[in-house]
Amino acid sequence: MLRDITIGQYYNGKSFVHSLDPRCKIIALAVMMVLIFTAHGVVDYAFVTVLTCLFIALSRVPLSYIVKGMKPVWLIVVFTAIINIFMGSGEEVIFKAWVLSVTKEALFSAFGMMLRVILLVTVSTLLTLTTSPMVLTSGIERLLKPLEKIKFPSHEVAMMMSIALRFIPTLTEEAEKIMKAQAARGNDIEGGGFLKKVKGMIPLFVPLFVSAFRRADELAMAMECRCYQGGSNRTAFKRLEYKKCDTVAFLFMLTVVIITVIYRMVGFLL
Amino acid sequence: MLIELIDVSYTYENKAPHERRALNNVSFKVEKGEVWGIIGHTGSGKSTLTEIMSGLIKPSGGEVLLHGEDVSKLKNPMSKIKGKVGLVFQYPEHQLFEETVLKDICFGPSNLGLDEEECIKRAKEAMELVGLGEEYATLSPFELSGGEKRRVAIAGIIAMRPEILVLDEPTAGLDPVGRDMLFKMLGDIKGKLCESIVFVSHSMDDVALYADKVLVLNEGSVLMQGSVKEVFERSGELEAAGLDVPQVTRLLIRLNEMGHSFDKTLLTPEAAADAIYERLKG
Ligand SMILES: Nc1ncnc2c1ncn2[C@@H]1O[C@H](COP(=O)(O)OP(=O)(O)O)[C@@H](O)[C@H]1O
Ligand SMILES: [Mg+2]
Repeated sequence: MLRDITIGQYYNGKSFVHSLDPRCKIIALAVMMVLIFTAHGVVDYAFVTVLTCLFIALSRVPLSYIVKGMKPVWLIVVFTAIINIFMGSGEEVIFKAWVLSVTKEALFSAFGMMLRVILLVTVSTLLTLTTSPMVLTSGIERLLKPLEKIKFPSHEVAMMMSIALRFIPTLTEEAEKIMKAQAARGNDIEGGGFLKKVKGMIPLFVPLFVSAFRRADELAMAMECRCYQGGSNRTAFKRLEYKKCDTVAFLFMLTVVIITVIYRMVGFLL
Repeated sequence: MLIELIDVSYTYENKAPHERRALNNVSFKVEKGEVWGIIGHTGSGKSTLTEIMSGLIKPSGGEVLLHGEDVSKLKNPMSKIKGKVGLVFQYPEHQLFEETVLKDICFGPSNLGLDEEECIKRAKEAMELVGLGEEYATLSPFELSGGEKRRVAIAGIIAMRPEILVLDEPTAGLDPVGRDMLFKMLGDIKGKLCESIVFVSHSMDDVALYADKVLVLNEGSVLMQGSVKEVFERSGELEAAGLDVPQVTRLLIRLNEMGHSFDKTLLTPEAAADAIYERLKG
């Protein structure tokens, strides 16, 4: 169950998206996020959806894998959608019961909200699915490099992020094991009221934190034993290099941005 | 019979469909008073089997009979099995969480709905059985040594007074002394609290010395099962599956190959040494 979470996991494969430079992908992700956030209206929605589908196709990650990874997000998505449907305002009432009424506008905005959350999660997941944590870190590090002028520890931050990503699957596995171990001692989090559920969490979280700290300690020790020293003047095992495909991807994203800007300008002016 | 598995299969849902099943038509039963050893390679399904026996996961196919009643189809098998089959996980010391050793051991019994007095009584009894003195009761479980933590964890299970105690690789990470102590402790527990014990092990020697019956798993299926003697007599088949036979058995087989005739079913080093000594003398 917990193991189904694919956010932050790497899907080993060979595809156009896999081979792209991480910097290129991070920037593309940022652009996509802005486009999705600011999307408004049927045409916008269709446009970003098509783009996202295109990226999924290019990444050759099975759709089922991505859908499965969305499981933990579904609850939030459905919840926000329901709130939107009933709380939204508008004229055209299409359904009314008791104090609740559903308007056409609210229905549309709820749909838009849902779509945008799903797309946002999908494109972000796609980045980690197609970029191994090591490569992702060096990409982030390079992008943050300019900030070093104002004493920003870009290497350390990137390292922390990659370690965090690396440990998501390990910790979920651990959490699952501890859940089972405590269930064997009769710990019951399924049944019972809210208070009982919270109480049932203590036996899960304490060992999980203990083990997370133990792991952190061991990792720090192992890194120190290998003379890890932090950021200054480190060279990379895998150097990042721009390739032809990165140029292609950049040009593509640029075109997308230009088209969007022109379309929205036109819509604004008319 | 205490617990019986009939044609039990299990497939992990999140596995790709083409991958083989974790368990395949496994049948075996544990009678009162028996000590079972389960052996097999890593990934052969040993842990999965222990989880099915203790009701943590439901089999995808087959039946699990507890005292003759099928518990595998119940909506919540734990409710029936709870406290009857006690499972000690691999590295059980990682599940400790309370402030004191005594409180941690009381966690299981209190989940059975017992009152505080009874919980403490059982916890103290369990502590004595695993060889933890009174002075440990108020210590934090996190400041104990690895071996002591493991004993606290085992005490936490036996304080629920299960009829069957199931242990998944209880000797993992222990040195030979720790291992001998653990098995001695299991002997005590079996005499006083639990009717039967099932333990998973990698070591044929441990199984030969401490178990009455053996279940050999290979890629999720039962390769053989029976008394220790019956199983280790078929050393050829075990070796063909890439599994060891106990060191004693290996020695006796070699001696037999060299033309001496020894009883190959002697299982303890002492018995084998005596037999060889007799031969040398006479
Ligand atoms: N939580 C899980 N999710 C998916 N597959 C699992 C899980 N646990 C075990 N498996 C798989 O099931 C098979 C049996 O595993 P397990 O019972 O742990 O074997 P053993 O304890 O003998 O090493 C292995 O192929 C393993 O990869
Ligand atoms: Mg195992």
